[in-house]
Amino acid sequence: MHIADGILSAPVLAAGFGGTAILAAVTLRKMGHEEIPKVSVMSAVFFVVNLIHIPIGPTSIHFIMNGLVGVILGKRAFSAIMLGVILQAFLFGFGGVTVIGVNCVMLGGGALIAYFIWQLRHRFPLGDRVEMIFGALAGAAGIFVSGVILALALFLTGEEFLATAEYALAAHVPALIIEAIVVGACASFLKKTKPDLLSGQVQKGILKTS
Amino acid sequence: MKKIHFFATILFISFVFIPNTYAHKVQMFAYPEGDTVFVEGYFADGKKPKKSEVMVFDNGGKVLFSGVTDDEGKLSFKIPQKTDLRITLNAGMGHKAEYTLPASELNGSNPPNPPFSKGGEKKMASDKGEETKDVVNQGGDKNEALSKAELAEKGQVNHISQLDEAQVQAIVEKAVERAVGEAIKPLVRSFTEMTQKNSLTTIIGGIGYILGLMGIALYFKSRKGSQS
Repeated sequence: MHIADGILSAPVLAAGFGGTAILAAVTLRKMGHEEIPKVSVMSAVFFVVNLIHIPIGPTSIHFIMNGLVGVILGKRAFSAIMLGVILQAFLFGFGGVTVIGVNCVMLGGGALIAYFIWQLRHRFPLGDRVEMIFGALAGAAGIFVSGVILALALFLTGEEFLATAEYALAAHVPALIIEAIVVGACASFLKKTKPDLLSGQVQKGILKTS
Repeated sequence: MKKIHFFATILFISFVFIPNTYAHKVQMFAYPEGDTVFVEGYFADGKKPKKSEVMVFDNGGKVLFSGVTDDEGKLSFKIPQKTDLRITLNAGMGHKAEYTLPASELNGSNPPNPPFSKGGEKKMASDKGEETKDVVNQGGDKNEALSKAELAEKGQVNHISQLDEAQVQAIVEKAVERAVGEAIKPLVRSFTEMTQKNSLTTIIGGIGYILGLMGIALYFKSRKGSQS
């Protein structure tokens, strides 16, 4: 999923860094004491889970799990993913240093949209399985939005990348399905065992932000 | 506390699974030698991908060559075209590796049929060729007045010995290339392995960074809290 060095044009890279700075500034504001360990742990989960490859058909994919980070951390997901992406770029060579901004917007943006989808469950109470359904939707949305941002970044760089971008979207369909299943299962499991870990739980009519 | 236990369990489980997933990841490398490209695939745990499909694409994604590896996970093919070669190795069960051989590396190698190979084919004795040329050159310096026949002969000899020199050069280059290629093969392999592998040390290091940053953030937060 990570975009490599030397593919995107300078304006897109600059826009990536700008977008990352804005999103980080907005999502990092007023972070409470108790949120910091949670964000760090999810950042570590995101950092590590990218290394787990799952063989699917003729190829193998790796987890991205930005949807899960969004479901658990809410809007704090962006900072967790930003930290993860930076460390992956420096330690593993995932993507590259110049592309950190774009990769943060791509994966973190997916997480934020996943959180948005996840929050929609309050509007559509579908019974006992609502967490599983919206967890799955959020997991899929995380990948899908990241794929769209990836395609957009490639498209803005040059017309000739349009085909590549379409290919990139198609290539993420298996990842999308798997993440939907995993995030759905995680959300439903956490709802049963530790519901306050999930983001955006309504308690006594007040919407908690963490 | 329960939170921490839960995540510690998750992290522990991921640690247990990571080395496994990497042990089954197929890796490959390819190198040109003369007009042939050698492809070698291997699993991180040392097994060889037998009878695996190898596909070679050009920049546009056109298939230039396809074949199957032997029992040692190796395959070689003639360079079909001097472009960047994107070589994929599909070991089945979802294990796939990709390696791109840039055109610049192919350009460094000899063309399949050097233009001088016809004339000098018979004159394999390299030292002889050099000597002949030297003698002829000396002769040319000393004896200015030569008959036409001698001149013609000299020209011919000179021509042939020059061909020989080119031929010798080609042979030596080829031999050196092969010997060096053979000698650095293990190095290339371990280098490829190193660059493709994410070691457990790196993973733990990354988690260490995250926890350290968490500690710094909490420290400053707590100081702020105690002051106010």
